[in-house]
Amino acid sequence: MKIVLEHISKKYPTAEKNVLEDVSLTIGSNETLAIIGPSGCGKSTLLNIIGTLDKPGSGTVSINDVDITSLNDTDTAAIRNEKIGFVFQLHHLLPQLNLLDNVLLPSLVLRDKTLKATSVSRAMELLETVGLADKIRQYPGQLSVGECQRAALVRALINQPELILADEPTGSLDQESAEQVGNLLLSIHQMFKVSLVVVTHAPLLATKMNTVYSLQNGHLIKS
Amino acid sequence: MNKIRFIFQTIRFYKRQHLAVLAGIILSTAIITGALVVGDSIKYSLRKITEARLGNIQYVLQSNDRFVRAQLAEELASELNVSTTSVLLLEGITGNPEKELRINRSQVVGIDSGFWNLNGLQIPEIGNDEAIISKHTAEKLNLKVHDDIVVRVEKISVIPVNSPFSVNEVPSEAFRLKIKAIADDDHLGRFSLKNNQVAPYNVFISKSLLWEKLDISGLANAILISDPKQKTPDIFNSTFEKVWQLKDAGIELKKLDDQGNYEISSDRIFIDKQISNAILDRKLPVGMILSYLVNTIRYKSNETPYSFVAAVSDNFYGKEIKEHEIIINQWLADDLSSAVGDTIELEYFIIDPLQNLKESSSSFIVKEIIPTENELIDRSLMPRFPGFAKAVSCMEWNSNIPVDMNRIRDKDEAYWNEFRGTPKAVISIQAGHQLWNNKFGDYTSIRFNDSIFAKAVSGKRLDPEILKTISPGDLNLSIADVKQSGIEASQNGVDFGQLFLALSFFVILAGIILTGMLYVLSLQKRLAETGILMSLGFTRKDILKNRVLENVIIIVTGSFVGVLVGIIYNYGLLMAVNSVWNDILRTSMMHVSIQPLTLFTGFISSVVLSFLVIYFITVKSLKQSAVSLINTGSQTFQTSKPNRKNNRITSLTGLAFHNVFQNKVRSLTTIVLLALGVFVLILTGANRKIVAETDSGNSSGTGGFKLWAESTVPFNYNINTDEGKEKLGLQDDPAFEKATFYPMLSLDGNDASCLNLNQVSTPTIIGINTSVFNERHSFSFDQLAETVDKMKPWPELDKSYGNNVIPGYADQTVITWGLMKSIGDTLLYTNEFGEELKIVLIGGLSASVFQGNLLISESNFRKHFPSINTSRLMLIDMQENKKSEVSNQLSQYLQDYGIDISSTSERLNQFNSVSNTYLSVFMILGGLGLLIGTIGMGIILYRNMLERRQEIAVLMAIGYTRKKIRYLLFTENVILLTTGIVSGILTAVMALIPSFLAPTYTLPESYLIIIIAGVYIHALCWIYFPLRKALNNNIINALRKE
Repeated sequence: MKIVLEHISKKYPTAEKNVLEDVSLTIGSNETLAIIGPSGCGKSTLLNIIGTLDKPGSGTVSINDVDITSLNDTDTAAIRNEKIGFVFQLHHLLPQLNLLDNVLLPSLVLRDKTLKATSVSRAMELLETVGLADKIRQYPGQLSVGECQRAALVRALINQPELILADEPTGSLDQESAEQVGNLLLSIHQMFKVSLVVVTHAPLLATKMNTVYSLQNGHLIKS
Repeated sequence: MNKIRFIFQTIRFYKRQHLAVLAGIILSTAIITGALVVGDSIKYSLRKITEARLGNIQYVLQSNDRFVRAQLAEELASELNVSTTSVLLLEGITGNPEKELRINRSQVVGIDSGFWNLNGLQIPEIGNDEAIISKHTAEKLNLKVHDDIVVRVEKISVIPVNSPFSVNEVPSEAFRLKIKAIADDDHLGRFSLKNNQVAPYNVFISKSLLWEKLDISGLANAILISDPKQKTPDIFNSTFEKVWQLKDAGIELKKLDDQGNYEISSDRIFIDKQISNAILDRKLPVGMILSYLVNTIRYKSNETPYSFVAAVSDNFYGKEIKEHEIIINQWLADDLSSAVGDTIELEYFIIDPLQNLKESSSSFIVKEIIPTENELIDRSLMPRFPGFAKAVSCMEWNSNIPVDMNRIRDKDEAYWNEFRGTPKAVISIQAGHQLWNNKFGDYTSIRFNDSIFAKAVSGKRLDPEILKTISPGDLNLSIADVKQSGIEASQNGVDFGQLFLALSFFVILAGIILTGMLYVLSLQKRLAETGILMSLGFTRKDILKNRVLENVIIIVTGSFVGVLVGIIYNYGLLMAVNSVWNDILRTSMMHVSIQPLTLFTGFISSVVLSFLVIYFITVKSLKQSAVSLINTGSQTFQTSKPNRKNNRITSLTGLAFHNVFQNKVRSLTTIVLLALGVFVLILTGANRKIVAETDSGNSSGTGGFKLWAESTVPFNYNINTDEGKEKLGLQDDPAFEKATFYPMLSLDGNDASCLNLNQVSTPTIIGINTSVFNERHSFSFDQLAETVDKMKPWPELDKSYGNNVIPGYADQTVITWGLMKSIGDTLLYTNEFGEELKIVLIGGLSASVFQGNLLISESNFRKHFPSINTSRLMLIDMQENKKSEVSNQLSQYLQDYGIDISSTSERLNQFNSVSNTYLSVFMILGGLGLLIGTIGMGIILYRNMLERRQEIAVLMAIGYTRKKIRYLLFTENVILLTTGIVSGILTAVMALIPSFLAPTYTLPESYLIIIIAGVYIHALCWIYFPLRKALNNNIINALRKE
């Protein structure tokens, strides 16, 4: 999978200047990438644009040479469902579903019937990998934040995406859990050959990525 | 994991939020369904009442002011193979002689066993000294079986009251009877031919008793018909035309001699014009006669008092009599000492259009003197005037025309003794018409010779030819389908379903807004979930579908339960109708009727409304981007938009205002709910009509008159004259010296006031003196036709718009709601001559004492209903301080007339109480809407407090005391409350501007102030208590989270 961002700019209505200024970036297959910068510099905005959750003010974003800024809601949703997996700072597991159901949530709208049919077995394997196989019937309210974040990671992987976008995945975790999640992300990259883009404040996590970018005054600078 | 499981898990997890939405849906559905079921129930109940009052009776022949042979009932039954019975329907006064209780305007029904048999009831025959009374009569008069009851009825006669030479008699006849049984609703206790749900006060007495006492043997004024096979009215009427006889038309045939001479006369004295005109039109070989009593026949200084004169046609007399000629008999010639060629004068009374006697005179030249005993001019030419026919001497004469007995000489007595009413003079029929033509008829008899007639008309006789020439309809006799028309009237009145739906509009709206608001609140908790689902690849459509499916279960469940609650609500409403309105509508027969289709309509309406609300709110919530949803849902502080103006907040009050404006949706919802409720309360409260005793101006609904009087027995004297007062026994009472009476003629119809729930097409007509109303500028109008002079509307009623087309006024509310008509529409009646009469509605009165009646001019009334010459209605004016005295005295003197007197303001208040009751229902429902609004406000406040716990914790941490925080939060909500109430007041005031401009409008200020103050205090409670509870929670835990 290849994602190309060309001359992306983004300005919020209430801001005085662009949060992203002429940002260009290429993410290839099986890459790992960290984006760092001070709070409010636009890291999450950039991540959301990469993940089709947000649209740039100007510039283009193409995935496998397809300009996604011109796609409709259904097509971008399909991309998010099949190609991309999100991990947020807060796990955002749905409180009304148990662990297994939360992990299987993306498979509800999966269009690939074959893949959909194997969702449960895949979920069990992934939960085994992250050490949560024995907690599949428990609800988010019954789990620790770290366990929920690991489950969120599994949720992001359930449809075998080609890219994981993690926005401050360890931001809400204690040091031990943060390290655990960070290592898991890398393991998953190695195991499943997924590209990984991580927005983080944690220097330890950032240095584990192949490439580190810094976002300063709206400009993306390769470190 | 599948979509169904996802939905069910979500419903289970968010069950509290869903229950709140469910409650909102149940409320809206209950109100909608309840309103619709009320409509069905009232229609069903009115139908049941119609069936109870008519029993098995489908058709009726009502002869109104005429009589038909009772035998006609059997003839119709035989021809048509149906069941019939003849009855006498009268108005009467009934009383409990032991307890001095009385009912004026009771319905007295003269029956025999046929009445009960017709309706399949086994009730024994009533003896001449017995009565069966209805349950309502028994309750009103506190009577039971074997008690005595006094019944007084108008002394009806075949002769129209006040036709010339009718009898000057006591107007009523009284009987003391023993109560044999009490008839409940299942035994025709409600019997009535009027389309009204009000139960009449019925007394059933023996028909033969009435025949004997009223001297109307063998006659009836109604024939009731039961026909289960339900033939059409046309078949009945054509059969009626086949079997009817002269007697049914009020005509009698008498053989005069053995030479084949016959006379046709009317039991109404004067032969109906329809009949005589029909005969004349065919140019049949008959002689026409008009006999009249003249006061004086004068020649020079000689005069003969009180003599009959006959006006005859030439073909009766056998030779021509010119219009100025008179033929006198020898007796008269001798008495006057007159001869042929002399000019003699006739002096006589005529009754003018205003029922006043006027003396007039005419002169004639004696053409011939005939023998006193004369085969042609004999005693048979005197009509059977009841006051004369049986008189043995002149002293026994009894007539409504004044006779000065002092003028009767011995020779006059001798003449009467020998020759009875033999006319002393004869003039031409043309002259007679000019002098004595009256609205009751042009002739007193028609004579023919059967052999001459048969030669002229192919072997026929006159009597059957008359029946061919006229039809029963010409005399306003027809058989009507009362069952069908009654049921139609019961089903086509005001649609209470729609009415209650409209009255409940604000409650329904409040319920919907509350439902929407609760749903919005529940969605706000799930913003992050929505964003996450989008990030996981769910399209907006997927999410919308899930949310809708989630709520479909809630909507369907809520609507179903709401329908059930609606049925209970309907029971409550009808209980209120049966109790609160019982005294006014005089029926507690409103029963619940549940129609599956109606329930389904309520269910579907609620489902659709709820679905639309939830759908559009969900769609709106999905318009945000996933990022925004995730970020908003993650925030620990209340969502707010930035303060664009960047104004500094310098006080707690300023902070409170700032917080209010931050969450516009919530604030607006609260304000709108409150404003709606206040708007309804003020609007309904401001329109409540209480007519104060001082609201007596001429332009008010009382017309400036002080009293309204209605009698059971009509007055046949002009009560404003000394003579009239004397006849009624009022002459010596000084109370009446300064009182002015304004009698009004009336033709009974159906009550079109708000007291009648049935549709009415022919309300009671009142003939009014337009010049009186015009001079006094009485009453005012809501609407007048373009062609009417707005400054002088009353004279318009005197006009005629064409052949049998006349103008009329009615209360505007009656026109709109009772008659379902508009200004310019026409009501159809049949006048006394069987002709269609069109009354065009040219004006709508502001609420007046005439509610329920149609007003036409007295002149038009007399023209079309000439036989109604006596009044049952009066407006009375006097000084305010004499009102009670006049009312009491009049009630006492005229109790035998069954007089009911009420103050005009009291009468208006009775009408207003019904409209006030509607307004009260509206107000209660509006209040319910307001209650929902305040509850909603309380819920929002509590929810708001829970969400802002962390904010509150921070405020405490930075030094705000609980007191200051309480002040801040309290002030925020008082701002919302005050804004809502003020908005409601302002919008209500704008809506009331037209009322303020109306001259008769009075604002009930105290009432409104109390209502608004009550609302404000109530709402403050809904702010204070939730606030206290929220602030009493442990803030530390919240701080820990922060």
